[in-house]
Amino acid sequence: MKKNQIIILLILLILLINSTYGATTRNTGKVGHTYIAVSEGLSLGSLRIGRKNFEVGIYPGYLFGAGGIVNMNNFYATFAAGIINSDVGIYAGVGLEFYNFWICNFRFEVAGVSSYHNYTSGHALIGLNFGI
Amino acid sequence: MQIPKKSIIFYLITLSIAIIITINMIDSSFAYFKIGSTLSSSTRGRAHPGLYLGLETSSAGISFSTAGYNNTLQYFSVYQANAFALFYPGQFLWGKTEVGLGVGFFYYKMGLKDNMEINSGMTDRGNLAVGPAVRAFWFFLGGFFVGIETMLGIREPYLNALLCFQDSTQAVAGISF
Repeated sequence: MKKNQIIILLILLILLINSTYGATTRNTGKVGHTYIAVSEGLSLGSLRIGRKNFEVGIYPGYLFGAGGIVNMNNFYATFAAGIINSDVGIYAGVGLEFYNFWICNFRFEVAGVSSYHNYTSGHALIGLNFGI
Repeated sequence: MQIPKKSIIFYLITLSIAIIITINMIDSSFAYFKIGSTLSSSTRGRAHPGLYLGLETSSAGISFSTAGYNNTLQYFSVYQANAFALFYPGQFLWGKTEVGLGVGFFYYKMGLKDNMEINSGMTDRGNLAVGPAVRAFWFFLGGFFVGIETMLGIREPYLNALLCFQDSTQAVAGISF
């Protein structure tokens, strides 16, 4: 790995850790939340609506499904199942919620999606979460 | 001297059985094994099952997986190894969950015949990637689990900044004991 790659990774890591604090917008929202995120090439990675630890919508790889979140302080594990590319598939990953402001926060997620006929891929997502 | 493949496989199986027996003879268990099957993104859409092996304590673990295929025109082999710090966030539906944050690497080697003739040569190539890895497993029935393990290979910084990685992702189904 080149020196500049290591420096960029360290800066990202420090920014993420330093901005992590407190309760999440998703869990404190009384009505629900909406999460919109970008993925590869800043294309639409995910668009989900939900309430507290339940979500439904478009997951990475265009998996249309529903899933849940298990909290771990500001980190969380996410699991979902649904339809992807005319096939059944699962989605699972790990996320971080950080930098709360107003009714929003950011969510960074690293996850993978896989279908029965091996439509499998990994994704890194970063997006905005609105919770009311 | 070239060691026959059958001998290597035999030694590996024997070693695995010896490790499993040894671990199970210890009064207080400090290690867990995972064995399972994978569907890997590295096989480029082919639904070939791969082998998944994991060895872990309650706070850290390593995993190794391999998959591949071989036919008259081409072959493909992928090897992946990940090391994780492990966390247990709690229940999802009725089963417990396991999360891993760590690093991993994968290596693949593939070959494609230059043309359809029997004696034609084969062009080989391989690649290696290193990067952050995550694991999210759900234990749906006792020690049986299903989940995803993914490694995002670091390449060009500007592509990584656009969230493009050379990922090696696998869906895993197996048993932990």
